[in-house]
Amino acid sequence: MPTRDPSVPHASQPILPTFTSHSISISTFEFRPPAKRHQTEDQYAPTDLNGNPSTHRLTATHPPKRASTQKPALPPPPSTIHPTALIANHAVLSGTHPITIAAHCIIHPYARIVSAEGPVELGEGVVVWEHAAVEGRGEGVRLERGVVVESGARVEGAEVGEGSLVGQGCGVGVGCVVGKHCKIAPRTILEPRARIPDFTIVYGANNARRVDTTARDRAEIMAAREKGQQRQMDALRKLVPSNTAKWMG
Amino acid sequence: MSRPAAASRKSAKGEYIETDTGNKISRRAQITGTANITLGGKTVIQSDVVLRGDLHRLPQRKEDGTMERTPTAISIGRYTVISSGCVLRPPGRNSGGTWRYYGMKVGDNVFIGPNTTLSSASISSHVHIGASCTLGNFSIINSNVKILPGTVVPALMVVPPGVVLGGQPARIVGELGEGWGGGGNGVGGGEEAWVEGGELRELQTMPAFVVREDTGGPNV
Repeated sequence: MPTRDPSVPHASQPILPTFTSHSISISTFEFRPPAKRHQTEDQYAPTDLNGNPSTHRLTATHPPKRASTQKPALPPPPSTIHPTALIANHAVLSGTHPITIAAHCIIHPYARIVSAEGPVELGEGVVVWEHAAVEGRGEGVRLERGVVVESGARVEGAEVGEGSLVGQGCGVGVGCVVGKHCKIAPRTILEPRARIPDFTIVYGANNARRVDTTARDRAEIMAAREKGQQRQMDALRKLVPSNTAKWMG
Repeated sequence: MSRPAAASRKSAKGEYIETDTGNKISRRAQITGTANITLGGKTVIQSDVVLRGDLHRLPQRKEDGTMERTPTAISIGRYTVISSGCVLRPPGRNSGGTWRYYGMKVGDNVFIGPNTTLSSASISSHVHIGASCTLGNFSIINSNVKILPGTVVPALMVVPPGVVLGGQPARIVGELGEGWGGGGNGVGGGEEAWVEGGELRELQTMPAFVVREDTGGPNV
């Protein structure tokens, strides 16, 4: 066996400890192709729907997060989602209790459906707008057919009857029961455990109430309203891309 | 030397993205349909602002049979600030047998306070909107209007220029004096008014007074 100079690294010896950290970084740096980054940036430049380059850059292309900083993804909640429901990108379903979403529902981007403290049940044709939150609390939250939860509203552990509207920035707290075809005007916070009879409008800074006699007494008004709502939902279905498959599991 | 390169890349990534025209958009803004939104320049969009650019009017077929370009859903002017938590949704209504969305226009030098929801058809220039307001479908706000915090502007309301608006539902609670929020170069138009009112005038009178002292007053 020939004797060898200890300063010369041998193939069987580990190479790394003999190099300085300085020389390592230089050697890895040299192998990076320098000009390629700009090409890829242009390739992914934002364009509008017709393929023309967009003049306004609104979103940044984020580099993929490092695996070490990524949080472990929580499992999606146990949910029953009808295939005709539309859950947009960036809409969030979370929690551990069951979430039921019936046919023709529309969950807008940045809406939150949370079942951390109780089950959530959305009836047919429910619309939940952006920044709105539907949270199961206590015995859970139940929205009947055709309920609309406007942007920024919060419905927690309440029951909302058929065709009711919860306006922008409203709060419907635990134990509230809202009747059918009610209208909660924007920025109204209902008192706890409130009981709102059918066809009531709650409005103003002092939560004044009045009865919507127009809708109550005239069937053709109700039919027209329902038709209008239907048309709006048809339009939304064309405009808002669906990401329902992500939550269907 | 890969370490310093990585550090500098990280420090360059702040909260706001600046566009070529000087708009500042938070990385945490929640913007959909970016192609249908125009920003005039020097406009600030803070975090958690929802801009619903995807709710646009559907493109019509032109006379020569080709489809027109997708219309702009939201257009925002210059020097406008949209605070965090706001929602800008274009107004929509039933028309011609279908539901249609219409464009939303926001003018220059508009301030929109936090957690405000807007579905207005148009908001003119020099409008100040407080926090937690709601502006209904197709409401029209004329120029030089101040909307107090927590105001709910009903759908289809047309607000005349130069008023203060407040309440639930909104009522006109006062008027704004001439020149409020105007002044040409930014908020308050500060510098010019300051020069005219105070310091320079004082400098002009001082030498004149001194000269009269030296001559000992007019000779009789």
